[in-house]
Amino acid sequence: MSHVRSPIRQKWVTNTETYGKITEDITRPIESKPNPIWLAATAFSGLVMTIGFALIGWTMWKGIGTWGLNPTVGWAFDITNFVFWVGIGHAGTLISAVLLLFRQEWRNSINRASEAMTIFAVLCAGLFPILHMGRPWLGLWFLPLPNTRGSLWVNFNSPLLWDVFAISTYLTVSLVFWYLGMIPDFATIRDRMARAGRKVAAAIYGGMAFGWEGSSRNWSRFEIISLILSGLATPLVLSVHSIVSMDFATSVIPGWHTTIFPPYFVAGAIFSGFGMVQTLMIVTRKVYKLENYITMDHMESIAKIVIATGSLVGFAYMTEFFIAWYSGSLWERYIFINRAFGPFGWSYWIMFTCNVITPQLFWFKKIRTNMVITFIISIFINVGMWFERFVIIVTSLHRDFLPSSWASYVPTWVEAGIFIGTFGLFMFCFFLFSKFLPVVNMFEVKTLLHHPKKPAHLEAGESGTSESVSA
Amino acid sequence: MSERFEFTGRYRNIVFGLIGVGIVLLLAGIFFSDQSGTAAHDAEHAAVVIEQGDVHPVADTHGHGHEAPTTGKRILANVLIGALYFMTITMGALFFLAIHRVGNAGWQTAIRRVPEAITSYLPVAVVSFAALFFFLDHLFEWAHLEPGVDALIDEKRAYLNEGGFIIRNLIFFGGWFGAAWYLRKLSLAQDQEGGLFHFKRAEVISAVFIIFFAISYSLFAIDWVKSLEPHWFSTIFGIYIFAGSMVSAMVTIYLILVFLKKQGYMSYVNDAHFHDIGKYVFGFSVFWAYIWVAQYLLIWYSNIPEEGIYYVKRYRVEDHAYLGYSFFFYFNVLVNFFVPFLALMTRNAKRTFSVFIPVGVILLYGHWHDLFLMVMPGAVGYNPGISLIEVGTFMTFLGLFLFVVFTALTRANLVPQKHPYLEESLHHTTGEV
Amino acid sequence: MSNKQFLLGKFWDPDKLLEALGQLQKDEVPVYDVYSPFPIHGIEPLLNIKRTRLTVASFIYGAMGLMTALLLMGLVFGVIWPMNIGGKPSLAWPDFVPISFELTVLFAAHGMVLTFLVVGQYWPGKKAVLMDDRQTDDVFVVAIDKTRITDEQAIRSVFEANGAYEITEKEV
Repeated sequence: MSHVRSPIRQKWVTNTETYGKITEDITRPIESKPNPIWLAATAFSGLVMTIGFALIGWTMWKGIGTWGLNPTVGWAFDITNFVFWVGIGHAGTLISAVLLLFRQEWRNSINRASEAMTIFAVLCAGLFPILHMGRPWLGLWFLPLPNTRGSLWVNFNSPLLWDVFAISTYLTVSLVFWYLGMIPDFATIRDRMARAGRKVAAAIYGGMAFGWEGSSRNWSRFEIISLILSGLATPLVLSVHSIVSMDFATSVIPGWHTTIFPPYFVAGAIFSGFGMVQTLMIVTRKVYKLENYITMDHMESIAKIVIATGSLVGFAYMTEFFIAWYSGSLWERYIFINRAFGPFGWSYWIMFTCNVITPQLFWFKKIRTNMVITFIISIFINVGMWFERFVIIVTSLHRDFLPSSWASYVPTWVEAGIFIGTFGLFMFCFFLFSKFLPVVNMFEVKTLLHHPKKPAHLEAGESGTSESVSA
Repeated sequence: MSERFEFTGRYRNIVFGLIGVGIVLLLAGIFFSDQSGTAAHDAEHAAVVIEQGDVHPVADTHGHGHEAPTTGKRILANVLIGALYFMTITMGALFFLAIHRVGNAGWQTAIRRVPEAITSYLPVAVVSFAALFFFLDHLFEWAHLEPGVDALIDEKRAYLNEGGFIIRNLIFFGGWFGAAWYLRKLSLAQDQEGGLFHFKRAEVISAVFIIFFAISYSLFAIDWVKSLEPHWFSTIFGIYIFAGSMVSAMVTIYLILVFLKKQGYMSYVNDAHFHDIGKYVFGFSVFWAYIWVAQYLLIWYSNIPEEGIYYVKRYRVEDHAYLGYSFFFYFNVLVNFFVPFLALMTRNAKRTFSVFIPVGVILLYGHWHDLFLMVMPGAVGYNPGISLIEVGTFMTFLGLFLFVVFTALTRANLVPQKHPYLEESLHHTTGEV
Repeated sequence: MSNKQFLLGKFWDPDKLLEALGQLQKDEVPVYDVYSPFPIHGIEPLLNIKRTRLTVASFIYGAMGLMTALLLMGLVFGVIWPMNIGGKPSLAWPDFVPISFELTVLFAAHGMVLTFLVVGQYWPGKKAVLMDDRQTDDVFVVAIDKTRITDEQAIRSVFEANGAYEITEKEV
C-alpha cells in the first residue's frame, strides 16, 4: 500500500480520531444487552426458518412429488433457488479477496459482513441440490469413496459432481478465510471483556482467538497468508459460478448451451451479491450506528460496482439474443423469442427491468446517496436476479424439442415455503452473527486511520485499565 | 519534474530497418511460396476426393466455389493478423487507461504516458483495417458467396453484408479514436493547467468509453475474426479476444518501460510498478485460459457438429478434417497459459527483468499464434506454416507500431505533471508481498 | 514459557514507534518483538523479519492437490472403472479440469492455513501472553529481552525521545 495518499481521496473512516473509538463502536453491540428489535427480528426469522425446515421434513417424508415439477420441467424452483443463493454468496469473496488484490481500501469495513453473508448464502444454497436428490440420506454417495456397492464410482464427467467439489471447496475456504480474519478481532474482544471483568465472555472469545497476541512476526505471516488466500479465492470464486453455469451449459438445450455462460454467470453472481450487500449494509449501518465506518462513500462504491456488473449482465443478455439470431439455428432463435414473448414472457421482463434498467439509476449521484431509494433498488436487484435464474431454467425447459412434451410449471406451496424458509435461515444466521461477532473488521479499519489522536485513557492519566465497558 | 524521451537516430534506424527487412522478407516469401501454395492445394484436393460425400470441413472452409488457397489470400490473412495484433494491443492499452481512471487507481500514474503513447497507434491500426475493406470478398466467405448458395449465410445477411460491415466498423473505429484522442488531450492539458477539471472529465469519458467498448469490441471480434467461419458461433468470442488483448497490452507496456528504463529514462518507476504490471500479465493470462477452457470445454462437451467443427478443424490429426493445425492448437495453450503461469508465479519473477523479458516475448508470440490459429483455418484453409510471408508481414507491422509509439512518446513529458495521483504513484510500494 | 524479564516501551502512535525502532536498529539493539493491534506497514525490515516461506508451502500443497485429483480421476476412470459416457473417451481430460482446479485450491488453501496455525502455534483455547492488556486495542508495545542488552538507559532514552507514553518492565 502506498504510504502517500493523494489529498483528493476520501476518508474511509469519518469522525473518528483514535483507535480505541473504533474498537468501542464496533464492539458495542457485542457488549451491550440485545435490544428488543433485534430479539423480535431474530425470533421472527427463526420462526420462518422453522417453517422452512418443517416443509423440508414434509418433502423428505412424502418425496419430491410435493413439488410442482413434471417430466418436462424437471428442474425449476429448487435449482433456481440454488443458483440464486450461490450467486449471492459471491460478493463476499469478491469483496474480501478481489478487492484486496486491487488494494481497494473501502473493502476493509464491509468485508466481514459480506463474508458472513457468503457463508450463510452458500449454506442455504447447499440445501436445494441435496433435497432434490429425493433421498438426501444417500447424499454421501456423491463423494468419491471406495465402497461396497459393487465399487460404484461417481461420474467425474458430470458437471453436477463438479458442483459438489466446487461448492464444498468454496464453502470451506470462505469459512477459513472468514474465521482467520476474525482471530485478531476476537483477541481484541477477549482483552476488552477481561478488562471489564466479564470472565465467561473473555474465556469464550479467548478460546476463539487462538491465543492471538498481535506480535509483528505473527502479523507478517498473517498478512501474507491473507494475500495468498485472496489469490486462491479469486480464481475460486470465478470457478464456482462457472461450474454452476456448466450444469446448464454442457447440455444441448437451447438457451442453456452457450459459451458465454461461465463469465456471464459470474458477473450475475457478483451483481446479485452486491445487491444483497446493499440491502444488508443499509440496515446494518443504521441499526448499529456504523455510519462512520460504512460511509456514504462506501455505499457509492458499492452502487458503482452494481452499475458495472448490472451492465455486464445486460450485455450478456444482448449477446445471447444476438448470437441466437446470428447462429441461424431455428431452435436457438425460437427459445429466445419464446423467452421474451412466450407464456413466461412476464418473468423475462421482470428480470430485464430489475437487472438492466434499475441499476442504471445509480449513474445519478443523488440516487446513489439516497439510502431509501438505494434500498428499494437493491430489493429490485434481488428479485431480478432470482427471476433471471427462473427464466433461464424454466423457459428453456418448458418447450421441449417434441411439441407433445410441452408443459408448464407452477410451484406448489411446499416449494415456495422452503424458499421462504431459506430466507429465514439466512437472516437468522445473519442476526446471530451481527450480535455476537464483530460486524466490521476492526483491525483492518484501524489501518485506514491516519494520524490518530492520543487515546482518552492516557489523557486521563491512567493506563492499562479500561474505561466505560458496560459489564 | 520533467523528462522527455528522445527517439535517437540509432533506434530510428532499427525501426526503419524492421520495416525494410519485413517488406523484403515478405517479397521474398511471395517469390518462394508460389509453388508450396499449389502443393498444399493439391493435397487438399486429394483429401476431398478421399472423403467425397461426407460433411466436409475442408470444402466448407473454401465455400462452395472451392478456390485455391493462393498466396494472395495468405498475404491478406497475414495482413489481417498484423492489423488485429496491434489493434488489440492498442485497445488493451486504451482500456487500461480508462478502467484505471474509473477505478481511481493511483499507482499507474507515473507510467501512464506509455499506454497513452500506445493508443496513438490507433489511427494507423484503423488505416490497416480500412485497407482490408477493399478485400472483403477475398477474405470472407460470406462476402464472396452469392445469395442463395448457402442457406445459413443467407440467414445472417442482415448482419453479414459488406455495407453494414464497413459502416459499423467505421463507427467503432471513430468512437475508439475519439475516446483515445480526447483522453490523451485531457491528460496533456492536465500537465499544463493542473486542477481537477480535466481529471474529472476523463472519468466521465472513460466510463462512457468502457460501455461503448464492451459492445463495439465484441462486434468487432465477430466481424473480423468469427465471421471468417460464418457458420460457426460462440457467445464468448468477444471476451476471448479481449482476454488476449489485455495480456499482450500489459506485456507491451512492461517491455516498453524496461526499454525506457534501460535508456536511463523514468528513474522514478520502481520495482513495485513492474510488479503490478507483472501481476496483470499473470492474471490476464489465467483469465485467458479460463475463457479458453469455458469455450472449448462447453463445445467439446455438448458435441454439436455445427459448433464442434471449429475445433475439429484445428486439432484433428488423422481423418479428413486434417488441416495441419493440431500442433498449433496444443502449443497455443502451452505458450499462452502454462509458460506464464509457471514462470511468473513468484513475486520475484514479476520484478526480475531477466525472467520477465523472455516470458513476455513468449507471450507476445503467443498472442500472434493465437490470432494465427483463429484466422488461418477460416481465411486460408490448410496451415500454410510460418515462413517468410508471416515473419515479413509481422516485422513490417511491428516496425510501424514501434515507430508510431516512440514518436508519440517524444511528443509529451514522460511525467504526467500535476496529475492528482502522481505523488502516490512516485511513492508506490507493494509492501512485502 | 520460561520466565523472561522484558523492557517495554509503549506508544500510541505507530509512526512514532517506527521512528523509535529505526533508532534502535541503528544502535544495534536486539528487539524481541513489537505488539500492535493491526499490522504496521514497513516494520518488517526494522525487525529483520524474513519473508515467510508459507507461499512455497502453499504451492507444494496445491501441487499435491492437483496430483490427488489427477490420480483419483485417472485411476477410477482409466483403471478401475472405465466407462463410455456420452461416447467420450474414458480419460476425457477437458472434464478433469474443474475438479483438478478445485482440489488444487482446496489443498493449497487448507494446507497453508493449517501450516500457519502450526508454525505460529495457535490452537483453540490457547492462552495469550500479553505485554499490555490494550495491545490488541490501541496500544503499540516494543518488547526488549533484558538479558540480551547492555545499555538499558540508552534504550529508555530512545523510547522517551520518540514519544513513548510509558516505559515499564514486565516478567512473562
